[in-house]
Amino acid sequence: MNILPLVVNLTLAILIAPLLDGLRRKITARLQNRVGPPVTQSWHDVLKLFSKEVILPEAGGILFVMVPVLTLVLSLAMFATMSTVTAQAPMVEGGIIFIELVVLSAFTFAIAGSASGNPYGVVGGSREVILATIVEPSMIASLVSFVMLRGSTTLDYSARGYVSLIPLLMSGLAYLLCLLAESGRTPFDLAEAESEITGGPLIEFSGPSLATLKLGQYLRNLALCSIPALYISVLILPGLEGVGYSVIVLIVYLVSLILCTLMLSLAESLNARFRLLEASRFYGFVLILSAFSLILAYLAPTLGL
Amino acid sequence: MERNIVEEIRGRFPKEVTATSNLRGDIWLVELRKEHLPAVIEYAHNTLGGNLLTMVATDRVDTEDDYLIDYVLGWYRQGQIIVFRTTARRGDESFTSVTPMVPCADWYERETKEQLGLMPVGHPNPRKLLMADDWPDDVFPMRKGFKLDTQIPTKERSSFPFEAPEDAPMFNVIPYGPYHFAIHEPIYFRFHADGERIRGVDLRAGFNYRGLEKIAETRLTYETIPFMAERVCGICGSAHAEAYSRALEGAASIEPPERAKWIRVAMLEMERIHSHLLWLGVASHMVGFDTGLMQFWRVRDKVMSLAELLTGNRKLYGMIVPGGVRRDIREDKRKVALKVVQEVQTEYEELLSAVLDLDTLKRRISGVGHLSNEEARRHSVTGPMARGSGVDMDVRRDFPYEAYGSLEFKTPVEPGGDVLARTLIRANDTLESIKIMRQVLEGIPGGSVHKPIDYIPPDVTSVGLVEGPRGTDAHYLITGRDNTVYRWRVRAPTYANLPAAKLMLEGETLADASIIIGSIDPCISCAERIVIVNMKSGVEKVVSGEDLGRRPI
Repeated sequence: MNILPLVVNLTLAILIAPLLDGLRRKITARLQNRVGPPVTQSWHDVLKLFSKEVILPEAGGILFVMVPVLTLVLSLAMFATMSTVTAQAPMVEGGIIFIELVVLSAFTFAIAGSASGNPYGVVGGSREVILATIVEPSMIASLVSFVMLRGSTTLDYSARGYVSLIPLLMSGLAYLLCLLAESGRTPFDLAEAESEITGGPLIEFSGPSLATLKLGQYLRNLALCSIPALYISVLILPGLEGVGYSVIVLIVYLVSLILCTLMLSLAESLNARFRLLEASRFYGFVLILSAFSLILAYLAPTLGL
Repeated sequence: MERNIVEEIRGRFPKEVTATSNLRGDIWLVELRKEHLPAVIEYAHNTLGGNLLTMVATDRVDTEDDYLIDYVLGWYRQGQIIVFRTTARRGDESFTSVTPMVPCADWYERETKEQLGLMPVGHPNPRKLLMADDWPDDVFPMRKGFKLDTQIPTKERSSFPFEAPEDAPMFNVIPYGPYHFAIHEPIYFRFHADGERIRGVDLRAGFNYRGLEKIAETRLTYETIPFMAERVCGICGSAHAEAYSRALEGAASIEPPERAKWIRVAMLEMERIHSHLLWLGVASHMVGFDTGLMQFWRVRDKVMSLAELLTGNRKLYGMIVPGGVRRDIREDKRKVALKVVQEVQTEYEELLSAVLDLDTLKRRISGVGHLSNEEARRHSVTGPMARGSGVDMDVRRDFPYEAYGSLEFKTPVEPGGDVLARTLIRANDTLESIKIMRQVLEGIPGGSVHKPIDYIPPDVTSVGLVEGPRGTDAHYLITGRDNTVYRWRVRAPTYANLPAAKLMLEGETLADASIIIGSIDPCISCAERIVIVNMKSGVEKVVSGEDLGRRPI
């Protein structure tokens, strides 16, 4: 375990995760002809919530208290498995653990819903489970094909390039489409769906527990938005060295975050919420895409693609 | 061919009908004995296709020692309104319910039971409608003997008897309201859901009951009621003021000056444009399309500024009073208004075509919340709800009032019966309203804008119909002697439309519940006009243990 990248990752993550959400809110607001809140708004929200009293629903047990902490811890753990702005990742061979953490945290949110004992929480939780079940396979397939194409399970920038361009682009596209659902925003905010099931799993959370949960979600989204930087890096970085290298890594990382946020905002502004059935149809196609990228990634060396 | 409905009913029920008379213009009175009421109403509603406009019971104990029971039905294509009147003697406070045959009479009869203590015999489920859970069963607020300062003896709070499907224990109970993000107004739907599929629906209203009608009878005068009427609803206020004014002007047999009529039309249409834009925004939000909300409301804000320019108020215009309007429209303001209307039209058309092109939005609203043409007729729904199911009705065209007779406009009708159809109705209705608004601002005649009413004869029954944004507003009025109404009953369109929500929701999913309820454009404060409700009773029930069924995923 490399300590320096880990410290850099965690500090950076906690600082900018709410800012990234703030940026998304700002861009969405501008797309909707609104002024929008300042970029720091999500930070203010979290800090305000931390200053409030703790209220527990009668039906909520120990799980209800645990879930926000669990969400936060799982999200933070993601940053131990990959690079953000450092060339080296804190952990060698962390790719598989990253995938496990992504899947695990999606289901944690679903547990949050049923832990509260509220019917809306239960409905939201079951929606999240179904959504996760249809999205995660594509997510896993696209990440595995990415790992295979660059020949390393270490999620860092020291890549030696890639094997084949076409499956790489397919994998990247599939990943971005999965990101739409993973981020939990419109059009795939089925689990929260404020105007249908009034926040779903979030409904009974308030004060510090809501703040912890929110912070966990911001961190998870930041981690997911960081992966496209690695896709970009295998395309342009191999062969670079020295000081210029670090600067370019930083630029690539920021560009990745901004592009992902822009994509999420656009999707949010230009779509109505999907129904569960429509979402599963949509992700059926994404699964085909990611499965093909996986097959091509496997065959690429043999076929000489 | 013009059919005369009154003659048809006389011919069919020669013995039962005791007298018929013309009240004025298109309003007829048919008197019958109490025991014949269900047969006649069933024939008039189900066979002749009348639309139940309102049903009113009046306490006449202090003058005639009886209760009047009036069912008011309207035939839009024939342009006829018939008041079916019967009486119940004091001491025999009951009448035979027509609800088993005419389901849309459900709410009216339940209200009659709790407000006046007239028991609808044979009603399938005569539970509370508007009053609080701890309101005693033997205190009737709309009886003349009930004084406003009466101390109400509270009784033990009973829980509301919700209906449940027979296999209910298998299903999850999901409370939707009284506070829900999507509907913004207190109404309580109770879903029995099998997963996300809704298998049973019951609804409880009454959280917004304010007793306006009792206040009008006891505290207000003819001149002040329009302002109270306007506050029945924050969105369609002018429609209520207009319906009251029309009913009163009808009773006094006067007509407002020509210019006032045109200004009234401008107020009503401005309100309709505002209401539909508001709804389009809210509907967008309900299906998760917040950009639609922001954009439609951006245009809506222009309409509110226009209202401010013409009336001094952004909402609740305070313009329509019996005898005319309160303010004139100045020439310079008229010109600015025309320009604003043009801007609104351009922006709205652009926005609408962009929004209706959105696939994800269309998929959400097409094919859900189906209400068939037969059901729409059977349940006497009104306005965009009826027109969205292919029932062609529009008060503006069928009972032309004010200046509508000399204006050009179309009534959009869609046969689809789903949320999409209702959305298209409102979207196209807005364009028609903009057209009317322009015609009015261009062609408004000169003259005075108010004509004082000198004399209002007592004991005259009158009905005022107005096509509000949500459907037909029906105000029923009996004039009184003390410079105030003897009986005033407001029937807002939501009162007719809301019970139909049950039909539209059953079998649909929880995900679509919001937009289906939303597609009625429900205005809860309109539907419940009348004593302050103990809000706590409703809220406590929602969070109590029995509702919060826990189920593992």
